[in-house]
Amino acid sequence: MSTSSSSSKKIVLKSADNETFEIDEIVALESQAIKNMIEDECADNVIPLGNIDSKTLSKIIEYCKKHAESPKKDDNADIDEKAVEDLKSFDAEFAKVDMPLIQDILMAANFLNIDNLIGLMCRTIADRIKGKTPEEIRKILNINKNDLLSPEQEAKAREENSWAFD
Amino acid sequence: MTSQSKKMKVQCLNSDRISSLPQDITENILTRMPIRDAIRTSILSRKWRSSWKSMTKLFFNDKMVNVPCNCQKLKKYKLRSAILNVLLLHTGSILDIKIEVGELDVDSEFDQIIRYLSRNNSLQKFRFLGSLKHCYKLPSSFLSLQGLEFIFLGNCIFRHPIRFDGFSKLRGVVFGNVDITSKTLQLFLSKCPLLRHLALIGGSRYFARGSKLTFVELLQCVPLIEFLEIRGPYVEYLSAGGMPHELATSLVKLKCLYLGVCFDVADELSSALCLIRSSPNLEELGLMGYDKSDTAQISKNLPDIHDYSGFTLDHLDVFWMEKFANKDREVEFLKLIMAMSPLLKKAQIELDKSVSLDEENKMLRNLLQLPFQRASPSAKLIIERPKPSSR
Repeated sequence: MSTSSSSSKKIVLKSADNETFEIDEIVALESQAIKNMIEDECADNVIPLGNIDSKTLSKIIEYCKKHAESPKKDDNADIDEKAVEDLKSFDAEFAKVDMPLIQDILMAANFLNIDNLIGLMCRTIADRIKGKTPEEIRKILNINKNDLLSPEQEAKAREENSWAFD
Repeated sequence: MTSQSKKMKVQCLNSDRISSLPQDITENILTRMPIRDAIRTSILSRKWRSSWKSMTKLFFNDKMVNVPCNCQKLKKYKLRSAILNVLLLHTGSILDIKIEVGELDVDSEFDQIIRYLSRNNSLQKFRFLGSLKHCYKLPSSFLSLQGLEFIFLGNCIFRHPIRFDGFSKLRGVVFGNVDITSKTLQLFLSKCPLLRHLALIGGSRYFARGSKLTFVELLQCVPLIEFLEIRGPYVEYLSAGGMPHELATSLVKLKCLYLGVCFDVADELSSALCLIRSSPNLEELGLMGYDKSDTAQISKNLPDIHDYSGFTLDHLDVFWMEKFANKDREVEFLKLIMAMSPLLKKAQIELDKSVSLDEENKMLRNLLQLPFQRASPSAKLIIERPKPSSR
């Protein structure tokens, strides 16, 4: 697509483990936080992202690339349904990763303020835990044992909304 | 990888990262699951214990409660008490409420829910979908929901209030099969000064009773209207008596118009033409054709569509027609719109199922062979067979 032409402006992102990623500016603009930095001219040549590791960052870039390339809804009322379908199946494939990575991506997307990606990750987590038992959910989310409710507290919580536990 | 970052990574993997997410993200996750699952997260851990209590969007439906033997009456009371229970325990402000009762015959026993909600003005969006077989009569306390910006009512009864100060912040209304008289609708709309989005869909047994309301009067109530959708029997009532060639005041804000229209009835045809002519800034226009079950209503003298040709739709992007039965008047209408819209990108026609393949072939051949004026050379004309699930 035209977005990857050699003349377009480049942005370099640096992960917590000091790996650098050179990407087109248009891809970086998918992040509202980076967009604001660029607009306020407080972005240097290299944007350090001290709380995002390279594995997470490369996934996020993969997502932003795809979404930056796809035609936007408001640009043209006549975007073909194929492009929409294509993006949907990309998103579905993209979300097929393990829970720790989903949580890392979610935290990073929240930090970078990428709305669509936050939504996708939240939906993925919701889909994975709905209809499951509390034990299953605790395992899926890797909830710390020290954080569990005492039996009395749990009984009270169940009683509070008894309709949801029958 | 440096030893420090390795250490950080290990720490990350062992901890429950989801517990360190900000509340709005937790809420985002909770809102994307059925409310029963969302509330069940209250026993997961200390962090999750009260997370649901500040969800700003609450979507209730009849499937959230379980009853033995599927007893409808028991289910109704259980649903009511579950909703009230959630509202009582909730601690933050609620911005968005949706209640769907499925097939349950709910009556005044649900009024308490509305009364409870009307105690605070934070609610912005209210959606209530009643049962098709038994419409729910809204209590007057509904009118005190003064923060509302958007209302969706389906299968409800809206009676003339004794006192109504209007909804001063309301921007959007969707009424689907809402029983309301024309007089009450007029009062309601005239007291919502910011209304931009209005959809009236489906039937209303009471609408035709009492004083008459015309399209012209209806539109006078909503000067800021940007989106207008009217279909079903409403079209017949509102267009009765016909309309002038053009409205005295143009609908300059109107960007999107979806209209049900029977192409065999003069009043409906002239109303559609008048509305379109009077909306110079339309960006999207959709027409849903339908047939009258009562053939006595079919007009003998229909307006000549060519009489309406002195206008242009300079902003129209998209035009679509549904249930296109290939009547002469529908084809003329299509040609008129394509001749008047210089920026049109797409004209999409969904054929009615009554149109046979042979007839479709003939129609396509005619469209190809008999040239007609197209103001926008790049406009796509798409003709499709009916989809199994129509809009």
